Amino acid sequence: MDWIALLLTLKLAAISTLILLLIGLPLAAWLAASRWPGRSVVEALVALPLVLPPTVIGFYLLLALSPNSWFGGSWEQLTGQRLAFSFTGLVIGSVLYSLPFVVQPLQQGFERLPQSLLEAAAVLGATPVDRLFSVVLPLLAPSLLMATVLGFAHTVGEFGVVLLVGGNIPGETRVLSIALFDHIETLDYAAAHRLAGSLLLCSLLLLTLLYSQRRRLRLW
Amino acid sequence: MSGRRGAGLSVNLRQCFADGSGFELRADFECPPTGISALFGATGSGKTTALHCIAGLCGRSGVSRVQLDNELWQAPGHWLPPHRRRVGVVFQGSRLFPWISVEGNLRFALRRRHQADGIPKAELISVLGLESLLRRPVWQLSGGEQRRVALARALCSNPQLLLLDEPLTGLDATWRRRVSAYLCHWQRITQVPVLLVSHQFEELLRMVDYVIPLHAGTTLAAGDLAAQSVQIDTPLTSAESAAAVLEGKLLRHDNHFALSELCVEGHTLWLARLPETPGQTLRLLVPACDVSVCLEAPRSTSVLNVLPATVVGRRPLERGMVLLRLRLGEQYLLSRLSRKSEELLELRVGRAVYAQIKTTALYGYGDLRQGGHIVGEGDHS
Repeated sequence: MDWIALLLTLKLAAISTLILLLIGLPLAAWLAASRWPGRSVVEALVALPLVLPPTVIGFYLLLALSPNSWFGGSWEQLTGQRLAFSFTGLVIGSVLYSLPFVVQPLQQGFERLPQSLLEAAAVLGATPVDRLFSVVLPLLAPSLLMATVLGFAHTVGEFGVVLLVGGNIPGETRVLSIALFDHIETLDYAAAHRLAGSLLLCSLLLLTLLYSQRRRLRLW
Repeated sequence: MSGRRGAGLSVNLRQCFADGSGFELRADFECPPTGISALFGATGSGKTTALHCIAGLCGRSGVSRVQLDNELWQAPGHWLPPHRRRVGVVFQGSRLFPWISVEGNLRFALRRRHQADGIPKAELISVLGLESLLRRPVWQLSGGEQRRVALARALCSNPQLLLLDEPLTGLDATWRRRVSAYLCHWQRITQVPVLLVSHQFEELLRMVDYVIPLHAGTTLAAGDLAAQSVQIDTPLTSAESAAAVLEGKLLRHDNHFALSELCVEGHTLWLARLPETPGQTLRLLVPACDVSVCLEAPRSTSVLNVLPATVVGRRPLERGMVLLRLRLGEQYLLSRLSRKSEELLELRVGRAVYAQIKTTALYGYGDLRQGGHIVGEGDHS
């Protein structure tokens, strides 16, 4: 088995999901509440990875991350590290690519928040911060679970962006999907079967768990 | 608990709604510092909106003013957010938190309660019959159970003003009686002003002292329940269900005929036997359509209740009917009859008449405000 690739993939997915939630929660809350007309542009930007071929995103990302670009250059000056073909570059790519899978369920959750319950909590003396933790979070739990699992699973499953941005450096950017691609190219079908089969099984298990838990959480 | 000093609730609401309905709330009223007051009006008259505005749930827009005792909650340029108003609200939908149990809901309120002390949770649980429901998730409760939990939750937060939106709706007859009795008791013990919203006259009769009529978003002159019930120029009495509220003393029961004898302004009234003990002061609901009028004391009539009265006001109604206001000592009656009868008997203002009230039309209610009438377990005296 490709243990190094597996560990790297899990690390990438975990870090990306964490960042996605940190960005996604306020972004989704803002999108759900905003009346600003330009909101639709932001929504479209977030949704772009759903429709674009991953290679298109990968191509532009590669340009942006390269030391010659404004972003990649200033990053290298600030941190002394190169972004293209690095793990950090991979995280940036994953976050962008999985953004809609996290933001959209969260936005729906925020939009469906019953104002009536927030009002009830307010008259019972709950301050806005108190309401966020004691009312919004429990009501948002199903959406939060959905966003976390989808963001994680989607990051594990990405290929095109990773290939373009990260390349194939073992222990740095060689994630499972790249390893699988390698096996197929070298006609090592036995290794490819092991990898593809276990990925398929894991994803199926994860999604089954998600949908069963979601039903349980929605019961109320 | 300590007595209460203060001016009560003073409200001037100006709220326009941008939903295209053109509905505008213009409500100006004051609630007495203690006792139970009611905003009374037809569906769509703006009662619920007024309640929400007082709680601070309609936003800061407008030039509304809300003040409780010496505490200004809202005025142009001033705003106290809902969580700092220390108000208890029972909403029309019960608005319980679905992710926690019944007990979790009560604990939510208790942990954030507006003032220390207050009625113990155990008493509320016992009086509102929630013992067996505590561990149940909210979505398993019936509508009536949800209402009771919502009331318990609001009382748990120990508010300095209690707002109730149709508090008895969805409860069966037994619980209506118990809840209204307990609300009166709670009010007396805590001395916290209560403002409720209702479109059912009977609901008011059980517990309300002060009535603020609301018509199409505008408040009319307010006053005591009995006085309000016989104001013939308000929407309260133009409805077919118009009824006067009389107060009387229960004299005795006639077990042979299953009747009770009441003394109203020195006259005797008979009605179906009541459960209360003699000596109590009762409220009596006299529907206007069950009061007929004659010029001489009838000699042979099946009607037991014949009272001398004076016509003091009239208001023509739709479909050839007229509403008369009759004075009976210090109190008033309403009579709804046809304009033809009025013409035939020449019932002008100032005319002395006899009002006949059918025994079967009278409803008596133990005056719950006087106390000693709490239904429920435990000692609440």
